[in-house]
Amino acid sequence: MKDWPLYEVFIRSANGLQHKHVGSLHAADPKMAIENARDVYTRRNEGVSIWVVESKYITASNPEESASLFDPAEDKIYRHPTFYNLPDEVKHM
Amino acid sequence: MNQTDTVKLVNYLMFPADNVMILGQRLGEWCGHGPVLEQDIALTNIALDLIGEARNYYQYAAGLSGKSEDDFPFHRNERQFKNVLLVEQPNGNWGDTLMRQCMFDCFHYFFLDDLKKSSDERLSAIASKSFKEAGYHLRFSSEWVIRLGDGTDESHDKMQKALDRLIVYFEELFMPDPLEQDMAQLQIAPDLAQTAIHAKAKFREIIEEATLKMPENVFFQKGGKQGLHTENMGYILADMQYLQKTYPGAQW
Amino acid sequence: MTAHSSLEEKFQQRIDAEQKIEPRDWMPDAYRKTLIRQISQHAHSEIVGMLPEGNWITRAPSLKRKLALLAKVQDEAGHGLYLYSACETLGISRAEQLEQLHSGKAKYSSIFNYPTLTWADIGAIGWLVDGAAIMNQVPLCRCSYGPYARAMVKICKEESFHQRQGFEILLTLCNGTPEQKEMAQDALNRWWWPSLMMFGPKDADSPHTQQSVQWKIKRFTNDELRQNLWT
Repeated sequence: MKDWPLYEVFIRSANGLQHKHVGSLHAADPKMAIENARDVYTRRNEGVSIWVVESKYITASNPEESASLFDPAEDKIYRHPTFYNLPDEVKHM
Repeated sequence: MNQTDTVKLVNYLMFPADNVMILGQRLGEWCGHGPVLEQDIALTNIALDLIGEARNYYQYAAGLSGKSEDDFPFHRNERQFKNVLLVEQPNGNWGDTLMRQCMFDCFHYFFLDDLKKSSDERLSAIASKSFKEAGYHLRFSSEWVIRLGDGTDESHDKMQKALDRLIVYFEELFMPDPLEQDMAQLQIAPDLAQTAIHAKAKFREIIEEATLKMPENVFFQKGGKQGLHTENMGYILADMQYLQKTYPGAQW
Repeated sequence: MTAHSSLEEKFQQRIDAEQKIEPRDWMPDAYRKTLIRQISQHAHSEIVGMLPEGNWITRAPSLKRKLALLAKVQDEAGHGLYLYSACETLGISRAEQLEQLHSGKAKYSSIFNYPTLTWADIGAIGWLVDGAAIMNQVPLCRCSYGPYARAMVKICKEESFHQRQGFEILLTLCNGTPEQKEMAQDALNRWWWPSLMMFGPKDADSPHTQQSVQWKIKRFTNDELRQNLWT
């Protein structure tokens, strides 16, 4: 049992919301991971749907590259509605 | 309901109640000692469901008889408990516990499915709530029986031993006490002969998938429903009732 | 300035700016080691802590108390699991952590070595020990290491019924028979000092505290927390 792989657990707390990462656990296979997730992470009605994925299958961005990955979005102010001027007469848009 | 009927119903309630009470008590012994954390948590969830279900029956009985819910589990003796012998068997190893659980879950799931149709509204409501939980229990225990039965040589061997040892207690689940028969005729309780058809078929299917061999020519043990228990029962109650018996009348 | 010390300086700047550190971020070795030591010790304490209370599950005196105690001890298993998981993000598996517990290399809170002699001990643990634990745990929700902080948020939310559960048990005993009152007093007498000692050694004798506070792993020193419990 100590060789059971690690799984990441994602829970949808209510229909209409996205699945959200809540933590991880160990299980022998995906089926057991779902059941373990149900017992470990939904003891207080936290969820209506569960995703699990073996941790090793997640590819993550490298924090050292975060400057080149994410900083360029900082100056794209024209993507945000506040960049545009509207006359005061236009109340809603 | 006239008085005789009420007394009968209260007595009847002890069959389903004591089964889940004693099994829940047994599972509670595992809490903190499970093989891995995830399974420790899972088994405790089942214990909580079962004791919660027992409490529902006891509360119903309490309302009918003017007693308290705790009077039933804490102030009756061995001969008054009506649970089957299966549920009082010791936990043994993880495989023993899951085999015992799987046998009980096969019964419990189909029993509750029938009890949902009870003409007694309160019983029907209790059954509807617990039926969903029992479905999950059955899934959990059957997957474990299959995983270990169809696993390594060692785990297969342990599961076969568990099956051989526990099978003698399986049949009692489906042998009606005269009171259960009476209640079945009144459509209050399930007809256990019907429950047996589905439950046994399900259990055979699981055992087959687990590549285990169903023992033949088994001499079935019974008596729990009439209060004739194994010696385990005295120890279970000594533990469970210790405080209530040591300090009579105290509130907790 | 060497490349390494500039990394460390940047790291401290991020901490000072209240930024969270996430698993794949660069961190000083000592920060990682301190976290592994603290989180795994915390996890072990949750798991070992199941045992003294678990002792009373089969003997709980009513259905209500039995269900509450089962749920509480089960929560502790969950909390241990959350913490082992948080620790795994630092590159040490749960199996390795358990190995260190079994070999004695990793410690756990020694309060869980005290026996639970009577039912009142279950009340005293809930009220005093969990009460003290909460003082420790709430500030950890703001710990600089993201996974630990997130685990602590979940744990603190779930712990909120534990202390009440203990308090209610004691209160019921105190309103009960003379024997029950005596049982409650005896339990309080035995658990009072150990629960004060839960905050760890005095600041002067705690070599790690200053660095941990600077890294915002700890937000308060042991003595500050101890004082908080009764004010």
